[in-house]
Parts: sequence; C-alpha cells; structure tokens
Amino acid sequence: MTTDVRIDTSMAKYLAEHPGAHYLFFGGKGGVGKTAMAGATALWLAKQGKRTLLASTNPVHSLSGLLGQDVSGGHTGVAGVANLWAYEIDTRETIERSKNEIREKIQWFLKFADISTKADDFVESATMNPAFEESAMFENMVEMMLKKEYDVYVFDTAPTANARRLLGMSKVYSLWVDKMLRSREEARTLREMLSFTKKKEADPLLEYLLGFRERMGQARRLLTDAEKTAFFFVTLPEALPIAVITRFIGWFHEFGIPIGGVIVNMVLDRAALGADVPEFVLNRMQMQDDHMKTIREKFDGRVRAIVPLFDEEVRGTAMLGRAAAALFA
Amino acid sequence: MSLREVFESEPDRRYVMFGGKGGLGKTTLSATSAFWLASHGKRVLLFSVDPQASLSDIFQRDIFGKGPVSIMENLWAQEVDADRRIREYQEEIRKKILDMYGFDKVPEEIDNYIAAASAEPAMEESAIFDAVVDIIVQGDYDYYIYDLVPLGHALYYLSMAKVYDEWINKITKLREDMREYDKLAATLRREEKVQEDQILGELTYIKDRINASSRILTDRKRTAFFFVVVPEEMIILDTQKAAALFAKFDVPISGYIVNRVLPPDLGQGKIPPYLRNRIAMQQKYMEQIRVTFGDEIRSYVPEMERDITGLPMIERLAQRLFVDGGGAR
Amino acid sequence: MTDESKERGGLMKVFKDVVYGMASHEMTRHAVRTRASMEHLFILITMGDLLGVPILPPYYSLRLLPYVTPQIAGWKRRMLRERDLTDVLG
Repeated sequence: MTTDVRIDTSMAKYLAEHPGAHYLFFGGKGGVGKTAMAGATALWLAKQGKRTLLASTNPVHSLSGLLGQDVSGGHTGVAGVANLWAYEIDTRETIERSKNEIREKIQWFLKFADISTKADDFVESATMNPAFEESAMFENMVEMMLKKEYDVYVFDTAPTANARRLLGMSKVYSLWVDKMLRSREEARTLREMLSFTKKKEADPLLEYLLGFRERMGQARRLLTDAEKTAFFFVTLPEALPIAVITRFIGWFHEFGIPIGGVIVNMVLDRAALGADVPEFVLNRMQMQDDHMKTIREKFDGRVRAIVPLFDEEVRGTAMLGRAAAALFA
Repeated sequence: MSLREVFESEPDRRYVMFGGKGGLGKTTLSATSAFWLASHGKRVLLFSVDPQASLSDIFQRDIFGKGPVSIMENLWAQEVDADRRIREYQEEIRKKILDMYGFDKVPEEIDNYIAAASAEPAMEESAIFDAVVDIIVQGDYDYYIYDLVPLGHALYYLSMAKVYDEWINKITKLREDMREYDKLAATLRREEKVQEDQILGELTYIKDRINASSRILTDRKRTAFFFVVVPEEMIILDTQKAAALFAKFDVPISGYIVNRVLPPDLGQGKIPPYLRNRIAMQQKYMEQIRVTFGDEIRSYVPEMERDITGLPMIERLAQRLFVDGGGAR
Repeated sequence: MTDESKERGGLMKVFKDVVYGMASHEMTRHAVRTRASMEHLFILITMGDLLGVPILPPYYSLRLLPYVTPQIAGWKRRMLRERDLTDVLG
C-alpha cells in the first residue's frame, strides 16, 4: 500500500519478539473497528496453533455480530476455526452475587439498628450504578486472565478507564485497606484476649479485604507486565480517532501500561484508484495523506499495521481472514 | 419533519442531546447544531462531559477544563474536566471540615476516607452527573446542547436521575426519623429546642439539584433527544434496541439523524470496485433505515470528504444537516 | 403571680421533675440509644461504600462528610468490632 508510514516492527514481528504476550487488548475511539481488529488477531493466532480466547469487555457486545454466531453464553468454539473460542463476558451472575452480598449486609444492619425500612430499594439503587457493571466486568476479566486456560487472550475493547483508575488510585485504595486491616487485627487480638476459649475466630471481613487487595495487586501486576501484556490502539486516518488514541497512549505511558502499538484501519488504497476518479475520492485521499503524515509524526516506530478499507463490513470468519491477512502482512 | 422544522416548531425544547453508539459522529453533529442555532441568533452553550470527547479537536483549540469558552458570536463551548472537578471538590470538603471544627489539619481517618472515596469507580460518574446539573441550572443560554457518552453510559446516566431521587428520599426519611428522636429526647430532658439539622438542609439541596436535572432530561416539552444512526447493519440493530430502552426510561425521542451517507452520485463516477461495493451495501441499509425509522428521520447527512474540524467545515456540514438533508429522500 | 404561688409552682415543678424524670429516664435512654443506632445506619448508608456497601454516589456522600466527621471514628469502631455484624459483613 502506498503510504509513507514506516513499519519497522509489524504485528507479526512484534508478537514473535514477545512470545510471552498472553494478553492482548484492543482500544480506540468508537467505530474504528476495534472488534474487527481483535477478531482478526485472534483468528491469526489460532491459525498459528495457539489456543486463543477472543473476549469482549465492551458493555455493548458485538462479538456475536462479528462472528455470526451466539457467543454470549460461555466460551464458545468458533465454527470452522480450530483453537479459537469466543466469549462476551457476562456480568449478570457477578452482579447478582454482589447484589445478594449487599442485600445481606444491609438487611442485617437494618435489623441491627431496628429500622423498618426495606433493604431492597437500597440494593436496587446501589446496583443500578453504571460503575457497578463496569467493575463487575473488570473483575470477571481479571479472573479469566488468572485462570490461564488459553495460550492467548485477545480482548475487544481495552478497559481504558478502568485500568487507568485502578492503577492511578490503587495506591490510595491500598492505603485504606491497610488501615482497615490494622483496625481489624486490633479488634481480633482484643477479642481473642477476652475470649475464654482462646479459639482463633474466622474473620470474614478481614478475608474479604485481604482478598480484594490481593486481586487488585494481581491485576496491577498483569496489566503492567510488558512481557505478558500489550495494548494495541486502533485508529482511522481521521482527526478525532487520532486525537483519542494520542490521549490514551499518554495516560497509559504515565501508568506504565505496556503499549503494543498502533493499527491504522480503513485506509484507502491509492494504487487501486485509476485516473479520472471523482473529486470526492480525491479530496478524501488528500485528507488521508495529511493524517498519515500526522500518524507518522506522532507514532513513529509504533505503527504495527495499515489495514485497508474493505469493500464490505468485516463480518464472519471469511472476512476476518481477509482482515487478518492485511493486519499480519 | 426536518431537523430545522423540529427546532422551529418547538422553540421550548432548549435541552438538546445527541445519542448513539461511539464513533457515529454525535459530537460533530452536536457542534454543528450548536453552530446553526448560534448563527440564527440563539445563545447556545455546547458542552461535553465525555473524557473521550473531541470538542477541542473539532474547534481546533484547547477548551478542556476551561469553563465556557466563546467560539463565535452566541456560541460557547465547554469540556468538563471531571478529574480536576473531583480534586477541587475534595479540597472544598477538607476546607469545610477545618472551618467547621477549627482543626489545624483534617484528621487522618477522615482524610483517608476522602482519598479512598475518590478512588471509587462511581466517583467519576457522579461527579460528571453533578457537573451537568451545575451547567444546566446555572446558565442563561437559549439552548444547551450536549453529546452523551456512549450508549450504555447514556442509558444508565439517564436512569440515575430517578435512582438518586429515590436514594435521597429514603435517606431524608431516615434523617427525619432521627430528628424525631432528637425532639423526643429533648422533650424528655425538658430542653428548649433541638439543634437545627444541617444534614437535612444538605439533603434537600442535593435532591433539588437532581430533580431539576431529571425533569429536564425527561421533559417532553423542553428536551429534544436525537439518535444518530449510520447505514450499517449492526448500528441499525443497536439503535433499535437502545431506542426501546430509552422509551422505558421515559426519555422522549425527537427523531433520528442518518449520518455518513455516501453521496449517491458518487456511484456514477469512475470509482474503484471496492467503493462501488460499499455504495451498494449502503443502499441496502439505507432502505432498511427508511423502513425502520420512517418519518422519524430528521435529516440525512452525507459523508464529507474531509474531517469536520474548524468553523468553515462546520458551516458546510450545517448546511447539509439543516437545509439539504432535511428534504424527503 | 404572688410569692406563694410562685413557690408552689416551684415546688410542683421540682416534684413533677422528679416523678417525670424517674419515668422518663428509661425512655430518654432508649431514645438516645435508638438515635445513635440510626446515626450509624445513616453513616453506613451514606459512606458505607468502603465497607462494600455502596448506596449513595460518593460525590454526594462527601458532601455530607463534614457533618458526621465527629461520629466517624465511633462508627468505624462499631462496624469493625461488633462481632455478629462483622460476621455478616464478610
């Protein structure tokens, strides 16, 4: 393809140089083709013989649409492709579980305080919060990553906001948990001192806090491990998507999250244009050239692939195969 | 009815929102509508709370976190910096505690709480919510135009108003019960009067703000909510689903705007085959859009050959959105 | 009012206070105790997010924090030390 954006390290070369890269994330502005790029990468890896799970963390899932088969129920083998499974992370169960936990806590407290308010309204309200689903999604994702059932996990939609918040705030949160743990320890020692039986009691709250800190630590270690993890950012040769990934890359850099590189999607192929093309196409081409220049300046050495605009939507494994061929050219 | 006719026949609809999946051009269409209204003599505030939003990129100047910035006569634009808002708010709370109790420094335990609360995933969302209320209740603009964050969030966001209101009612009731006990204790002790409960005042304040915004968001007389859709199969399906959900939350939908329509005469020129295929694909989905959304379609907006950045380009798009695109097609 | 009646009023008042006080002592204590429980519930509802009980959006709970600052330490102690409460909170 005729663009002057240099690709030193291609997608294929990057993955060859990072044999331990088990977790690949695809992020970017809406509408740039994250799902298609994640799908193409997963397909390519599966064809290389890696057991691959393509998972969506996007609250508005589109993997089933991409693959033309329902993958919402659980890890589902992709029809006609060996080694490839797909899954739209389902948070309903996690949310239901948290709801029950919260309900119990609140009900107990209401009883404890002798208040005749129904807990259910509070529970419903608490779990309606958008952040609640997002957190559940993130927890499920980390849980999946830790299971290591596959050689490679490919995630459609990098949890940008969550990762950023987690890494930025985990220090503060750890501090709080540490304090809580200390108070709990004191309380336990005191109780054991007063107890006749001197029996060591189970302490569920302490366990919850320890478990929570542990999971956060693991997520942080995984997400910042440059050997295991890579975030790829997808853009179009257009102003707004470029601006968005510039911002993302800046944030991620700040928090030490490994950036795999940039994929430029839906690029018009100049070579395929004959003479005498309509002005619209020529202008579009001119705009693209300007943005490719920006991309070269901003992401020099980090562009991993330039993927053409196809004549149809990237849907189904045949189209994904075409996209993969371009992505790993 | 065209978009222009909607605005002309419903002058009370001063709160204008654009919704839809990420990447469909919500921000661009918000900016374009704001431009059109402003150039017709209306005082317009265009704002965005989406950290991925691109008003700065569209107007080609940095307005992030700077309050309402004058863009041209009658048009102001604002990008809310949620992080900074949270930081400043934390400072405000600390200062209030110091003032109220005459402390030299905020007790460590309380300070930890303030820091940890800001690490809560829900913090950003509720801060953004509050920022919107702030903007809407304070200003004296003729129109408020904003782009909602991607669909899932937009829905939650709208439902939050109701939920918050319920929360506050419950909490206020509890607080009022507490006050009854205060009174009882005071009577029994034969004390003159009960101290004024400032918390009740705070709760009323919060409730008023939330009610004001929820009224605006779901008010059929004052709110215009437009869905942006593009001629692609997945997007059409998602938009239908979203519209059904919005209806459930009583959000009045004022119509649909079809964006990114390839110019129909393009097919007559000498174009590469892939582009011809794309046009054919689009025509199929255009038909589907016409059947699905029918006379709820307010405008057809062509795919432009250049990014919509800078006022001259916005002016061109405004012509398409409000004049050319409004006719039946 | 005459001196006498003033004195009688005073005596009556003392008498009433004693009787009333004896009867109301329990009630007062009960009211105060219930009020304290409610205070803890209030803090739990508005700031309990960090014990895993998220109810009020944190942006608004911070707004209430200054008013309950003096009670926070006691609340936390109670939440953390009440044995059966913590059993549930796990």
